Amino acid sequence: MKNSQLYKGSLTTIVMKLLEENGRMYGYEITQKVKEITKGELKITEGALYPALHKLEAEGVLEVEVQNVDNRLRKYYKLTEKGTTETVNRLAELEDFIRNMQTLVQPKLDY
Amino acid sequence: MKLSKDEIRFIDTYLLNNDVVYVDIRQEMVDHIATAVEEKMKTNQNEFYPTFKEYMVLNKKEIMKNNKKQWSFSWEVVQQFLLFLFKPSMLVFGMLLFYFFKKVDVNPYFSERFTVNNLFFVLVITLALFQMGYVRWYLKKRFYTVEKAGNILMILYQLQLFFLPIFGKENVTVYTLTLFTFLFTGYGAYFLNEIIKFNRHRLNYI
Repeated sequence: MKNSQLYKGSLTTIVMKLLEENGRMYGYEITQKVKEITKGELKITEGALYPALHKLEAEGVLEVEVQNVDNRLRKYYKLTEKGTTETVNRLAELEDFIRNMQTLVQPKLDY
Repeated sequence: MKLSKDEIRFIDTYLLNNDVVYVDIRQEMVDHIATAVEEKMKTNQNEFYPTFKEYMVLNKKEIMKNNKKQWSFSWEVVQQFLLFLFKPSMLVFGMLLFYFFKKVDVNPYFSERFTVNNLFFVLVITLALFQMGYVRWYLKKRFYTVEKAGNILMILYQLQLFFLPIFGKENVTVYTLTLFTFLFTGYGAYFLNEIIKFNRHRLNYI
């Protein structure tokens, strides 16, 4: 992941936001969607994505559906009811964070 | 350009030979690699084997980070178990257990020949054998979803060794008895719940 330290804390929120918009998605699809939206600026690695997905599943935020697609099994992730509520909270938190960062990086100075 | 069954099997065998022992973990990795390889084959108009080789040279390290080793400890599993224990139905069960042990003194049923530790040891062995039998003789394949709970059983066993009196002379308090009965029955219920969840997708895997 590009600038991994800066993006690391937001990975789960990004994933949840994508699932909120797209319903259900599989791992590779998530990596490609992020790449597409950010025009290749942000690349989520497999080593970061799957542990995050499994963690969210363990927390009850995501649930899985397994389906046979093109001679193999595909694991789709989707938000649970708890996950949908949690997404709203985490997005609000992230927006607050971005706002605060903007204030810190570009402070409006009063003279 | 879609991969054939043989090419999918080739990726699966490659991962198995690289120590990805759990079927469910491997399936997710196979799908990821296969989808990426299919896209690259389409873009570069290339054959399967050179594309696969090129992809693995670049991405093997990252892909293998998802390989959960045998009996590797995972906080996610512990967290999942604790969440299960805090379900309202489990908490009610815990309170009923406490009420039961408060009303019925079970200490006279234990002696130096058969301590409360022995009882929990039998419980642990039964649960472990059931789990092993389910994997070895029923599923005949290894699934992380099923085996991950084994760590919790080990932790519970160690905890009861530490907190319960080893010899029969000492009485076990109502709190200790309630706690460990709750934890062990909770574990049994958690494992069954995991198997039920797993069975919803089991036919897909097998």
